[in-house]
Amino acid sequence: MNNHLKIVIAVVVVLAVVVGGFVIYHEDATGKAKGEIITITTGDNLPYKLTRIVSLDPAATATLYAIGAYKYLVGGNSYDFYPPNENLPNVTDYPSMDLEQVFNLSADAVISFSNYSRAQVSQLLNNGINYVFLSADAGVNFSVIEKQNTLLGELTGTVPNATLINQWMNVSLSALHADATSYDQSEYNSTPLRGFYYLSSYGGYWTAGNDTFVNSYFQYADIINIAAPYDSGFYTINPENIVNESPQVVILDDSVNASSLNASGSPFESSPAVMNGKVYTTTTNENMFSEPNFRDIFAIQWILFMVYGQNPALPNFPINLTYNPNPNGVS
Amino acid sequence: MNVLENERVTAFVQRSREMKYVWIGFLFFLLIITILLSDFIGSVRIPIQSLLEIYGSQIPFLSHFVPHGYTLAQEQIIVQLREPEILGGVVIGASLGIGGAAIQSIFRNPISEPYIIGLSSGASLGAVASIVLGFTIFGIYTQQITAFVFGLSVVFIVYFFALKGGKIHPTYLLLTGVAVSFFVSAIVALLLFTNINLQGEVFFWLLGSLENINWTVLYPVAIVVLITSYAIYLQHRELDAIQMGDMHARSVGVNVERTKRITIFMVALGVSASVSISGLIGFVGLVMPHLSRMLLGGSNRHVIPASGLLGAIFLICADDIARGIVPGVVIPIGIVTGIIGVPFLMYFMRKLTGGRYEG
Repeated sequence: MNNHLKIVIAVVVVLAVVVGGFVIYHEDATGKAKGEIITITTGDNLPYKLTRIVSLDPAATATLYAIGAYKYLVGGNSYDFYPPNENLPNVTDYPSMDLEQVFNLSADAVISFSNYSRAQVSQLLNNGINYVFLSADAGVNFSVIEKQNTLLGELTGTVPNATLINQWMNVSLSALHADATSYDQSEYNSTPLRGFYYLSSYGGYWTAGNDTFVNSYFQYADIINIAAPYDSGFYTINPENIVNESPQVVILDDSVNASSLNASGSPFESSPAVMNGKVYTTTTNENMFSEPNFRDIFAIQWILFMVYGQNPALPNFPINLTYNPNPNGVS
Repeated sequence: MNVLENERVTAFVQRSREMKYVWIGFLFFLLIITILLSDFIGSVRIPIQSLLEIYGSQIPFLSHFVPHGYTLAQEQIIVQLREPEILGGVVIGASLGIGGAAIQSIFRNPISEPYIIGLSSGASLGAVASIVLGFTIFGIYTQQITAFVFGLSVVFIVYFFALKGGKIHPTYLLLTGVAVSFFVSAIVALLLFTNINLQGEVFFWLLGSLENINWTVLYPVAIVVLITSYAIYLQHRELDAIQMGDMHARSVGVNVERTKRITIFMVALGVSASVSISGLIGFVGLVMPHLSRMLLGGSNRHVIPASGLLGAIFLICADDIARGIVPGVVIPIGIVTGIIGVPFLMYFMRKLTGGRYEG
């Protein structure tokens, strides 16, 4: 073996030992127990209650407020609408979560509905921060929303309030569906209306398909979601299907320009919804159509009011809150 | 030439060589300064006192004597987030710069870079396949490992397609690399087409980022890059000869095919490892070797280390801009290297080349 090779091998071995030792030191530097990934499937396995939560999920922020766990929030996000006048530091959550901000808030958990990269989640867990993932995509219906409420209650020690809200949701859903069926039968005396939810025009006709919480809205409002048979989750529907299904009601997200529906070549141009003026924009509904949580009950109430011109009553909200959870203005 | 003139020429050559080592020393010093300054940049402000104490606490045996006036959150931010990201920038920038210098020598083509041999498209295919098809075979590091393996595999495919009669012709290798890259990119597009909802995640990987680098992934990549970079440096005399043409290299006793094979393999190994943890970061491998040659002349003895140092400095600075321009938001580094790097190169080309690239 010549001297040159010996030097190379020696350098490599020394570097490997130094870098390895450095890494091992850093891996254990925090001395904290690893965090856990928590979902409605895993349930709450933590031996302690969460008291320093960063919520990157506006739906969860609203639920935590309603169940009396808002005091445990140390960070929110820029999409939080409810409760209003939020006085929490906003943690950047797009395109990735700002881990420096999360660490700086000494959080014990981050709640999110986004699929952040595995590397980011791993950084949280390695530093003792739990990651609570509450899906908002395909598969989320009112049953899942209730399980999410219960999970948040378990994690923060507020299960009784979460249970009260779940009971209120069940009673409300039954009442709304009964009302919708009666309006439908008495006013139209025909098959249920055909509806379409237009989420976004960016890159196509984005809508809510089967197995989404928005699809559940339509079911409880006794309206057939024309996008449901074609796909699950949130997706871009082929405009030919819109023309073929000929929707009688269109619910527009406030990001979509209503006048675009009348434009020449639009698949809605000659639909009964546009011809009869049954196009409704969700402007004043504070993200009720994009956040799966207990306030979705009010979204159904709003649909019934707009589509049928009725004002269905709901049972009183079981928890006394400073800020009215109903954006429709009904207490 | 008389004896006096001969001595003057020898002294000039000696001084010129010493100056080049001074330049390399200066670049190394600049790299250390850049690393230290970068530790201050982030969405959370950390006082210098705390920063120095955190540094002290990481030095074995000295940690007991350093005051611990910092919070756990501050330690986590520096040790777990900023340090691996900055050192990741050093490792990746160096591997791209060194890889670029070696590839440009082999191809004798100023617009070639490590990605030209199919590395980027291969790594993209691996990363995209793992995201779109939901591979989890290697746990949380599946994406990095598949990107590494696919990147390396495509380089081997390109190499063996380009091999003719046991020899590699640079032009043939270049064209094969471009052709195979197009083919692999089409498969990437097809995969994305099948699941349009994942385009966002893939998009960010394709633009590159140092944000997700942690100690666990940095450790093996750093070792690979150290070994491959040193191995490439050991070839500097042979690469100098190949730069003058294969025939010239053979005439001075260089085993051309062996040198090319070793160099391409080392570049592929080092850059694949880097790209696997950062995503695709363009510009560095193309431009840093040129900047090194502008500063230090054409010998790979100086160009290879200088390209590594410049690549590391440039990538850390680009990452600082990516992290600092909008508080809390990390802009993909590939965007920054393109927007900042091109005017930077134009300026240096005008100032430093002295017409060397003209005519």
